[in-house]
Amino acid sequence: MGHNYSSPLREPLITGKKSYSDITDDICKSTESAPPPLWWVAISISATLAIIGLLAIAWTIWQGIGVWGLNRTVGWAWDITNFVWWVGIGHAGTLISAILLLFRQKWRTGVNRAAEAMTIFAVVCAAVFPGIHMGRIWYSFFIFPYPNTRGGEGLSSLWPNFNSPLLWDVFAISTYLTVSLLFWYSGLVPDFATIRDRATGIRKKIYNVLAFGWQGKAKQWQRFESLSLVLAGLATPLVLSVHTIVSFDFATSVIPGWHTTIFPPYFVAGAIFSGFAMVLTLMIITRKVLNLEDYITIGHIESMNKVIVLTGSIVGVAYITELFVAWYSGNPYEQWVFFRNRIADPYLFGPMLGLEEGDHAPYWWAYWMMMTCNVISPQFFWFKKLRRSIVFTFILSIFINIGMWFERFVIIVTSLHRDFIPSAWTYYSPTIVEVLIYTGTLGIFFTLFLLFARTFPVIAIAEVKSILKTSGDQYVTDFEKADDKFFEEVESGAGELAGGLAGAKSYKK
Amino acid sequence: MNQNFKIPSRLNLICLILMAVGAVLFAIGWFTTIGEDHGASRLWAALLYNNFLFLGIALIGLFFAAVHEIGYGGWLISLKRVLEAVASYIPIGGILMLVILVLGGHDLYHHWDNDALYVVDGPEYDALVAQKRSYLNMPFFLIRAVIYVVLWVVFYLWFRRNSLKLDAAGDNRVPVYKRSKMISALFLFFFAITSSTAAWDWFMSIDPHWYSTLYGWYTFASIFVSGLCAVVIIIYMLKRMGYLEAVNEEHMHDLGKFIFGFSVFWTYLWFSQFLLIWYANISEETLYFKTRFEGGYKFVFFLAMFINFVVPFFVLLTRGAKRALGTLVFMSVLLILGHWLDFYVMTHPGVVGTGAEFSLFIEFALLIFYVGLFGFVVFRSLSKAPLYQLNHPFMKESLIHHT
Repeated sequence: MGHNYSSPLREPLITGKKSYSDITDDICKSTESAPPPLWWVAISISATLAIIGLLAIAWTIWQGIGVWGLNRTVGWAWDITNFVWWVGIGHAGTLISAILLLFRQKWRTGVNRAAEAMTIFAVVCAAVFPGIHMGRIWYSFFIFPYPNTRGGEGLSSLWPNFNSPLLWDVFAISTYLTVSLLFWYSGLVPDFATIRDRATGIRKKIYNVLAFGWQGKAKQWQRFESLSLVLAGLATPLVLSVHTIVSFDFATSVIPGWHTTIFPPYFVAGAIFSGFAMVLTLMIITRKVLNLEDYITIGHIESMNKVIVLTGSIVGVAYITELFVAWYSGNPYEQWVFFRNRIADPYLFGPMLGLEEGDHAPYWWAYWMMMTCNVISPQFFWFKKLRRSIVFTFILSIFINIGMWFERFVIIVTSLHRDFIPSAWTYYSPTIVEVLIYTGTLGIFFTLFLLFARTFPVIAIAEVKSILKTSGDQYVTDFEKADDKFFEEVESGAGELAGGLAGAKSYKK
Repeated sequence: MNQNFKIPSRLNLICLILMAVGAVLFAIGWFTTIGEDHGASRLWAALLYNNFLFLGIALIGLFFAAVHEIGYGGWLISLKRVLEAVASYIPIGGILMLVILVLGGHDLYHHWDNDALYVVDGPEYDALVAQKRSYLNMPFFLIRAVIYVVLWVVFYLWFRRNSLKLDAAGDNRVPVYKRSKMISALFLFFFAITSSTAAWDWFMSIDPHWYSTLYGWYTFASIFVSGLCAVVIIIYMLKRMGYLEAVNEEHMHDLGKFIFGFSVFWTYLWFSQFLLIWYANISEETLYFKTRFEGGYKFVFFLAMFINFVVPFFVLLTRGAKRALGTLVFMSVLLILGHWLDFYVMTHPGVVGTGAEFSLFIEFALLIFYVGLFGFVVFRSLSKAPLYQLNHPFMKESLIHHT
């Protein structure tokens, strides 16, 4: 790096005039003290939800998926909605660790650890749904292609259908989980060693195993840096590929409402959008409860809110593009899906489209819920005051979590429930079993996160230390004072600037 | 640091010669082709896509500057004036676009004039085109085009004026800089919409039956890569002339990363659009690719893919390649040609319909002309303001930038 300078207009990312040892103390504290009563309350609730969810899953496997609300017209609904929702949430972690690393966003160091953890927990929750939707879960290993003896020998054995995007999904998500897990864990190794060095007794032994005997030698750091770079390179295309392939599950079909070419990038943008919403929901609570406000500052929240307004607007442009092109296509089925099955509410747009009373779209409320939460609400973040308001951000992050769930519900259910033949039209509603499985995955997610928050360093200690000299508040000085000298040097062509220019290799003429 | 760029008279002369040669060649092409079947269509199609490529490059100049302005992109400030210079072509490119659409629209968008398409129960009645007539009709089409161009020009002028104000602001730089962020945010908001709608109008509506929701973003990715390549080429020329010494291999490395990354992104969109249409195999959609697989277009279609993805992927993958100015400039020239071919395949089959053909007097003549015109405008703009924006609050970060 060489230079520790950064423009004084950049907000400090570490406040409270921290030293390196303060950083270690503050972040390790949560792993070294007994959890507060509130933590026990929270984990009791989430574990209970998880256990109820597991019972509902057991019931589903025992009875078959007839206990869900699916019918012959709507074969995918609540389960796949949840699957896509969770996979989407799992996008923020890798975006923060890989893509924001490439874009040199220093604020990522405050939230990357927790976001990566969240990614892994979300992918675990997502994986539940396709598994249990198979019905005969004991055959789920069939999805993995390996030399097998099913139905014959050698090449005549039974292989999965490689033309199916559902199979591509298996590859995409298992690759994503593997790389995210490696990325997360390799980043944790030096931090585990930091905790180990402060610990005694059995804790010391456990953290030593977790840290793989890390000693912080120069050679180890060098290998560590190379590994991080390789994993970041691998993870970058994965951020795009996973939700692209999830979108192919729908878009390769010929079902109006599913088949549209904008799906791949729009799903990716939506995934990042929902992922950041969940990161905000979790981190706003975590920073307060664990007293980490000096490391996850308002500046961090504002940066994340900028990602929210960007991705929310991309999603908004995609919604409007889809809607416009549905009309523009001239395809009556496309038009029907959008105008009659989604938009036509009983009060405003239905009557505007000339529909009679009672002829409105059955799921109009889902569509408008999605539009309000995902397109309109993030637009508030064009205003700096709102971007920096914690209460407002927290409420909005919940709105977006809800809105993104409805987006998937709208895509899946409204496109299916009115089949081409009106006699096949149905209305889908979930059963209590489906609802409990969903709340069960929420339980699993929060249980894992709560365990994480008390046993793992929630913030990447080593990475935060690496930005202290540029972004600690004691190093950021008053703008005018800091730069006056510099501009004088520019004019005289001497001093630091001349040194800086000479130091950086310039091309020969 | 040399702040004042004086256009070498030789450079000016080269630009003027390119324009003159291109214009003369095109004039010959015009008079020999106009009488042929589809002759007028071919001429206007060539004008449309050549003009749009350079207008798009100019828009990316403004887009890239605006994105870095609101995103605290400090590294880029030492080459911000180059971006502004690229963007200075927006007014001319925009006006030429309007001229082409007004004069050539009838030869480009055949559904405008064919009234028989809209006669219900008539022999040529086309229900699909008829239902979208409220959008695809000449007056509304031209009104929209004027709106896009006016918005882009206004934002360019506003951004540039504020940028020059920052040079003169002295110690009062922070409020002026903040204003620039506001202008950038507004521009990006409007550009997010108009970049898509302009692509629908000007290119997608050539085949009025066909539609693809991804089309706007795909076009954006094309001009984004081309725009970055143009910036690299201009920086290279300035450095050859002894200017812009503060832009070193660190900055070029970053530009190289962008070119590499967004070439892959372009391919991602190309593939998404192609795969989904191929896989679903719905005849209304596959017709677009069907016409591009016939009459010699197939070779151009896949050649563009090869140049725009395979070559930059392997050449620019390594760190060394992105830091070697020669390699980067060579790739930039190649990629602009690759996207030029891609725009040709987007335009020509729908407008002209006959097989692929390239002529020195039509397609290449215009490429020569526009390179000259673009260079002339951009270097003029560079000579009008200091080469570095020293008063920018992030200038120092850019000067000592180290990846």
